[in-house]
Amino acid sequence: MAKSVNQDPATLGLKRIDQPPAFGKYLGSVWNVREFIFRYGVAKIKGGAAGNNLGLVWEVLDPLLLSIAYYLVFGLLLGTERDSSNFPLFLIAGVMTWKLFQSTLINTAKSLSRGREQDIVHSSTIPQIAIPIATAVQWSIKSLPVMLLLYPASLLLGAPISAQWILLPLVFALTSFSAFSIGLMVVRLVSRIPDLLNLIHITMRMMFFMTGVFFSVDIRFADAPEWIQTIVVHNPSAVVLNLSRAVFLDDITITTGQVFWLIGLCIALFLIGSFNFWRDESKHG
Amino acid sequence: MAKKQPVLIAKDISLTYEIKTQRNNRTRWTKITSSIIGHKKTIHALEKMSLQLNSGEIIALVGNAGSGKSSLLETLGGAVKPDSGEIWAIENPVLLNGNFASFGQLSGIENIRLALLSMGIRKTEATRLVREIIETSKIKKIAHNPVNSYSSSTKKKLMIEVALSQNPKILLIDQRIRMRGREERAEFEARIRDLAKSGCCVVFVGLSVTRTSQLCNRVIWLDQGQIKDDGTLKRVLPLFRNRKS
Repeated sequence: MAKSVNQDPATLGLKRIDQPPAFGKYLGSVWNVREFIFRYGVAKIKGGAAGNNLGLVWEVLDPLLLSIAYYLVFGLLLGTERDSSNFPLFLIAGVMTWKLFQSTLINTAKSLSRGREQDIVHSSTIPQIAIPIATAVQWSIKSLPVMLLLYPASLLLGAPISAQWILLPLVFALTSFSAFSIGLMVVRLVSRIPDLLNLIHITMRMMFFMTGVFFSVDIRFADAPEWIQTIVVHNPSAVVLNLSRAVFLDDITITTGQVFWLIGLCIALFLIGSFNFWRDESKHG
Repeated sequence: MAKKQPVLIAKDISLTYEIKTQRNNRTRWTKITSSIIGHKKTIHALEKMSLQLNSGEIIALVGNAGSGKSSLLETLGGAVKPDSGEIWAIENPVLLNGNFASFGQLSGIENIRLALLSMGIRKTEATRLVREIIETSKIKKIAHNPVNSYSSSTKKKLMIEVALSQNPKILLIDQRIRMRGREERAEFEARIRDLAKSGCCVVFVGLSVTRTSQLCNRVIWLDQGQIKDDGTLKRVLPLFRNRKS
């Protein structure tokens, strides 16, 4: 016969294990697994690079070759070269920053949809939010050498050295964080409804054209209705692209209002995303 | 012999999940919709199940396919949250379910460290345990080689060493963990007996009854998401063997 359980577990020194800690403690516990987050990100980079002969060199080659293709197609053929006094640098900064933004966002969004990640979630005791964070870390580390290439590229393309150049690491961190925060908002939904990933890919493609990777949004949308201009100016990816360009190019301007908007938006999205994540983790079923 | 202490208590846990399935006797319309979006079926894996696990017990979960053995193990191990009910335990159980060496291109050392860190173990402790695991599993010469080049028994051995390195108080072993060779099995069973002697509660799923009977002292028989019987090996095993399936 099945045995009945009549004892009070609390009096026996047992604790509830089917509920995560309070939200604050949950976020704090992420700090305790920072070593896992970093090493997992690095392991995924190493694992991914092992499949190619040139390994991580492709991380640099890919945006460089794309920049050349965009330069030929959009810069020369469609005439967007006029949008900046130093269009090659404008384009390279845009392509590299967009690549960081796009890859971090998409991979964060699908970070719980793969078998390996689900296996880890199912067999480990770490807070589940560590997986999307590790994924964002992975793509940020991968993109770091690419972003640092902007320094020699700027020198080669004749941009004068200025004090603003030291701001690039901050722009890099803000780009990664904004992409991660947006990805975090949808990661649970994507793991439940995989079809959403297709929608995200389409949205990212639309954003690519709205963001001004190969043209200046300020110039091209100058005659657009005000509400479109408002959307374009507040589009997080357009703001990070402009920030990255403003580090090296004097003719790119960005208002402090846009920067504060971006920081505020990212913090809000991160808090909402992690709260939803925590709430989902504590849910039954 | 020391008195057995409760190490885990589950109260009224229920678990349901949905699977995509194909309908029988479909109309043309359902045939089209099913091929596009699929049909969902709700599975009641666990139904208001209550049980208590005690220190030093070696337990076999037995039952027909679909009776809820793996669902129970995964729920107790924290891999799946129950729909309702409560699970209380002395510490988080260690779930041994075959999810080791996710990165085949990386070395044994890197995979062991990652597995330990994923269990919430701190960096310095993980570094010490990595050395210890390499010693006990005798893989010093191949520790830097990619895990893809390891034999399946070496991978299994490493996975077990990683799980046992924390001296767990509750160890849940999935049916995917099967010891094939006689020597391998004997070594594994000796480890399990030692663990149980030290007070650990070990729960098996899906080991063949003959093998289980040499090791276990309690059998929980599951049927359609409920406990049909729970008791000593001597009493429950003959009943289970003579069941009408």
